[in-house]
Amino acid sequence: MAVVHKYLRLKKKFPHVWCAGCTNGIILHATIRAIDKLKIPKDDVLMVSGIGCSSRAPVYFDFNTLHTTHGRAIPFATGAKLVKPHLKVIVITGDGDALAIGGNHFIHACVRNIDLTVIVFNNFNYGMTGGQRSPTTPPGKRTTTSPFGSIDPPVNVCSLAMGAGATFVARTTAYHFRPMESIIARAIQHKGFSVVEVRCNCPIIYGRLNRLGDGAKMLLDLKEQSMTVEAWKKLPPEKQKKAEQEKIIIGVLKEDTKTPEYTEQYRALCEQLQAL
Amino acid sequence: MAQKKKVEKEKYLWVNRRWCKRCGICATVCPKNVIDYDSEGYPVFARMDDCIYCLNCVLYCPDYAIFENKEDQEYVKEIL
Ligand SMILES: Cc1ncc(C[n+]2csc(CCOP(=O)(O)OP(=O)(O)O)c2C)c(N)n1
Ligand code: SF4
Ligand code: SF4
Ligand code: SF4
Repeated sequence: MAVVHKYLRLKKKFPHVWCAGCTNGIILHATIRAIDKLKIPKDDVLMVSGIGCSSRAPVYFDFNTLHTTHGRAIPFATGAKLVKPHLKVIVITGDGDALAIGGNHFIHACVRNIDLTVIVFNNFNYGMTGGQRSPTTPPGKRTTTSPFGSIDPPVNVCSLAMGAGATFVARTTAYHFRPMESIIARAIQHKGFSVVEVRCNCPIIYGRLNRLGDGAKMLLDLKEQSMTVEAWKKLPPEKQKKAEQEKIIIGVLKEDTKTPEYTEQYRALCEQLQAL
Repeated sequence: MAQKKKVEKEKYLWVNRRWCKRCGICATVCPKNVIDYDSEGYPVFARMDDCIYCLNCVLYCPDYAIFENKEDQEYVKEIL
């Protein structure tokens, strides 16, 4: 069996609900392999999600899992982490779930630097509800709520996370399987709030609305569109700006191990008060 | 050399058709063009001699439909 098959709730949940060519399965495969590589026991993992196609993920995996309400995965995860700090808490969320309805929770978790790993499946639209515009939809792209092309400037997930104080921030794509696996492993190991933005595809809705081809083509396109952060850093400043607009810059963008972590501060405070 | 032979012997891949959604990703990511489609659009490992067992097809299948061992066939049949 492949590594992933050992972690699936094989008996009742398959085939999964995702459309043909949807990349959600690939990202989760990389996540599972990262957990396996780190040798974290299944019982020590808590996978939490909100609502959306991507957020259906925990249903399929044999960990402690919580499938919560739209946009609220991070608050549930925060509660669980505070009560059971030994758990590795991984939040699976979509661009809509994390940044639209859950935007405030996302920002405040970054500010707190609580030890959660948030994997944002950024497919540029609300796949589950039929392809509405999301905060990350690029300008000019069609969705069911921007049928003539979006005019809103998109949110840059990684810039937002870095600005708000997340201490580990990385970007990757569903095409870059092996780098994705090691980035997710690093994010899980990091003590503090880690955000991994994964650029991925919704070929069936967003892809069709924008005539981007089938899932296989869209997957290869992610390769063409990407540039490593190392290559980007070598560019002259004016080209860096341009590349930032046109390319998906992939790699670890921020890693700060000095900022105190929230759960530890909370424990320390509890101990201090109990000693009074 | 001995190690190479061992790999050759273990080279086995099969597609669980109940899970496969015929997306074509496995054939696209195969570096050796091993995979064709049958008349229904399901992938078949047509040129296993060329397969380098990189397992890209297993890793990228979004439906976890490709298995690496013959023995899994029985197990999967049992649970479905
Ligand atoms: C409170 C609430 N508002 C709205 C919805 C409807 N709804 C379900 S999923 C979703 C958007 C999901 O988009 P995203 O997080 O990008 O995930 P994707 O489906 O693209 O993976 C919305 C608006 C809901 N379930 N609950
Ligand atoms: S609607 Fe889009 S995001 Fe949802 S399962 Fe289908 S392809 Fe994936
Ligand atoms: S293991 Fe590699 S070479 Fe063999 S069929 Fe799969 S992708 Fe192709
Ligand atoms: S990648 Fe998986 S689901 Fe897609 S055609 Fe190949 S075996 Fe089927």
